[in-house]
Amino acid sequence: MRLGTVIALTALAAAARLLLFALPNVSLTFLVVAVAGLAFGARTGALVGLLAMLVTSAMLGGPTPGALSGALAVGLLGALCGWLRTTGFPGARRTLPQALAAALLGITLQLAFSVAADASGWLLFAALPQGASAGPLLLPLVVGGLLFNLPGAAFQALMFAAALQPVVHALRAAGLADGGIAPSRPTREVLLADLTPSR
Amino acid sequence: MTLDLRAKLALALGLLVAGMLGGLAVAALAFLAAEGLLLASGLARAQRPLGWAALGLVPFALLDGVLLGSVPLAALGPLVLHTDGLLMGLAFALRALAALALGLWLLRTAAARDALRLLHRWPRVAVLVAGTMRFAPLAAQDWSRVREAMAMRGLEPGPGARGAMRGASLLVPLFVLSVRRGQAVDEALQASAFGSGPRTPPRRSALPWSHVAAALAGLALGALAILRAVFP
Repeated sequence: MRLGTVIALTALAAAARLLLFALPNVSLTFLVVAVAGLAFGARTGALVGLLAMLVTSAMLGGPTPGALSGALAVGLLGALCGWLRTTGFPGARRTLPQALAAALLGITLQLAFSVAADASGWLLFAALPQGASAGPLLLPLVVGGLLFNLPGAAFQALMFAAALQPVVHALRAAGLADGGIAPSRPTREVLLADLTPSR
Repeated sequence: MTLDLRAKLALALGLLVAGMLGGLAVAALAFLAAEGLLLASGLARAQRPLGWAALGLVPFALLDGVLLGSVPLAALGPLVLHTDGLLMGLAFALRALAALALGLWLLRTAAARDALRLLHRWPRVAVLVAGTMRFAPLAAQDWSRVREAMAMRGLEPGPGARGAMRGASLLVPLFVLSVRRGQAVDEALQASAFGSGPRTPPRRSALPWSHVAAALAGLALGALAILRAVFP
């Protein structure tokens, strides 16, 4: 595992979360974690997810148990993306099925995080002395959380469909990802090849 | 303000805990104190993300005003805005803004070498934390640079699906730049044989009394807030 790559992606995920702090449940962190898993493997994906959420949650709300459970959930999702990499996803070509699969992945990550965060919050509340009787029921809490996360899921679907394949492909083409197809190409060459719009 | 990282952490933690556990007045004071720390550190530019965050929190404060509380303030059709609910929403927004301001203050003022010194017993964790602290502001700078470069080439994101695709394409150079920077760090770590043997311990230095006082003030503030919440 490359420590420097984990640091750079964690910083990017943290900056992305802080940048969009004003929009609840809308964050580019999931995209960074997915790219980390898909381009560098399960361990890097898990570490980037765990660290980015830990660092930013500690900054935004203090070191709470909820921050830890959320970080663990995102870490697991990063590892899941690392497993997806072994299936060859995403491919080298930008096709509609690829974009739809990427959108589905974005929606899954957002909603899975919502369920994990709500379930852990419920467990924490149930552990309090008065929580078992006075606390909310698990199912309405999870369903409410899912409804609240629907705009975020739509945002993730758009971002993943538009950006996941180009980003992972650019990293592979530049020889920067593990198992990249070229030894190393200058950044300018990669960007010119991948970003020049076809007219 | 060049406080030691330990003093900064204690101060930020105290303000954060007090803001979270206190009422509206305490949350407002915590936010003002965090703003004061930002301005005293010469970080006037940090007001911009805070301003955006404040705008984003307005709908939530209004939603609290509609859903919570019992003292009606105004009515618009079936929707009734409650004074007490609105105050709860305001307190929530101030807590969130205080947390963001403190996070920005820590991130923008803490030197990576301070984190390395603080966590020197766990070298890999120290490098991870220090690197993240150092690189997060650089990622934000990269974002501005890439946007400017794309705008100069006439590739500004516009409305509609095509504009959204252009906006998403801004992310490609951002990722490539970040990963290249990370791999440069990897090479530097390998060249310095990082992790292959014992590391030179950092030089110990005593904290100046003013830093100790700031740290104690932060810890005392947090402890008072917890005591007040447990024994109201």
